[in-house]
Amino acid sequence: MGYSEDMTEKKKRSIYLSILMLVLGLALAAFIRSLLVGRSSINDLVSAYQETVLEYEALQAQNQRLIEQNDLLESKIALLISNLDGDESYEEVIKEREYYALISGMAAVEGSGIRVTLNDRLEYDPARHPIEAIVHDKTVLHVIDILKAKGAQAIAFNGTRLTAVAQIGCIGPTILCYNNRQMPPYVIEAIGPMEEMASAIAGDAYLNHITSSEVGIRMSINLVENLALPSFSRTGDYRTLITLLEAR
Amino acid sequence: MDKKKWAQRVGILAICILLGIALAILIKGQNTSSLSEQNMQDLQNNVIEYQRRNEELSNRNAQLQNYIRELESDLTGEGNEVLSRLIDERESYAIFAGLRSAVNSGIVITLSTAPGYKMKDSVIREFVNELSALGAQAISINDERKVATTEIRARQDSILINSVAFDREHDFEIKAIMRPDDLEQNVLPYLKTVSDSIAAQLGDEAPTVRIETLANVEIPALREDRIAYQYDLLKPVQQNTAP
Repeated sequence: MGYSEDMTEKKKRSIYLSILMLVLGLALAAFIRSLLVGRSSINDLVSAYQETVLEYEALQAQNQRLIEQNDLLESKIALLISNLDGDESYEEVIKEREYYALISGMAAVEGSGIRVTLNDRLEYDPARHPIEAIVHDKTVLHVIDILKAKGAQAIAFNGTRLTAVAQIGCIGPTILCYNNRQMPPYVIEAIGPMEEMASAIAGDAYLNHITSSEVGIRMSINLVENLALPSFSRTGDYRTLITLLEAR
Repeated sequence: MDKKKWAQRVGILAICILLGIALAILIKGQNTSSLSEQNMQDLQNNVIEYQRRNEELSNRNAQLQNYIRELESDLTGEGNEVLSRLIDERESYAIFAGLRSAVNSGIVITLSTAPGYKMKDSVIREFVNELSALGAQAISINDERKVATTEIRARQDSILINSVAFDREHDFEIKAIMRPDDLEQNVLPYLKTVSDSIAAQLGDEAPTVRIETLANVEIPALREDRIAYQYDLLKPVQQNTAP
């Protein structure tokens, strides 16, 4: 009896051991296979990634050069046009052009204003924190609407001048401004009555809610005596935004 | 006998450890490769975006260079294109600023409140912001042209648009000029979802929304006496000119 019990125990152990060895064998086979097959595809991916990083950096540098070139060309045009001053046939048109450039956002401007900076909650975890803990296009638009209501005369979002044809929206979690992807921190700058704009932002119930410790959006408000906002010209070609507008 | 048992146990333990390590490496490898693909996708999106931005800036700079050539030839007496160019640009800036009326294909949204309810400014802002994001080139609310500084806010029984007061119990009409090929396929269905979402949020307080597309939508210019037209706090920045 004792002998047969001992045998059964041994058999059980052998079966367990065999199963364990089988699983180990399968895992090792899968591991080795992934090493052999995966190595080449990971290498391919890494090399494609590195190439894309280089391309991205080159495009960023090119973008900076184009912006600088744009500034120089605009300056040169301003200088050439100023040389036309004094010629009566041009004088009135030049003044009107400058005036409409100022109103339309096609001239860089400066003046006293405020800078509102919004940032997502630190260490945002969608499982634990509310969706309001990240900054959405609606949050940015809410701030912009408050600034307009308090008399903002020129507004920029992340360095892009907002115009009458402002386009702020989103695709998934990404905020777009004139189809350009924006990354946090989101900076909204406005030239206008500083104190009124700042106190309206600081006193807004919705902004107070999302900046509470439970939600966690980070927001700062700075008064700036001499705030400079760029021309829309730095963002792109304004004519592409008015192709449907047949003036009457 | 005891020694044999211990040896067996140690063997099994070693196998288990090996198995655990192999599985951990496999899982880690899979996570790493999926993370890299996500990074790669993000990076490629950024590349595409910069290509588009750079193309647009290049086109703009090419236009500016042409303009400079015209200015230079005019200043040296070799041509006389400058005046028409200046007039053209002045008009384009005025159109861009919303200071010219416009007519083209577009959409008209009529919002009507139920008796006893008042229109919410947030509903009008929501539609206006959505239309802007959808690419509307000109927008008006009750024939008040929306420009860069247009405010839309409620004050007691009125909603102020460019500081003009409109009765909150009356209908509000939002007009937008948009690309005709987008209207039926994309814009209308999307605006319907916006309308449904507002209805779900506001319940009985939600306005009735009627949306129609038109071949000719007329949008007036911003009147120069409006508060949105103020610019007394803006000082043009003098640009440094390169040699």
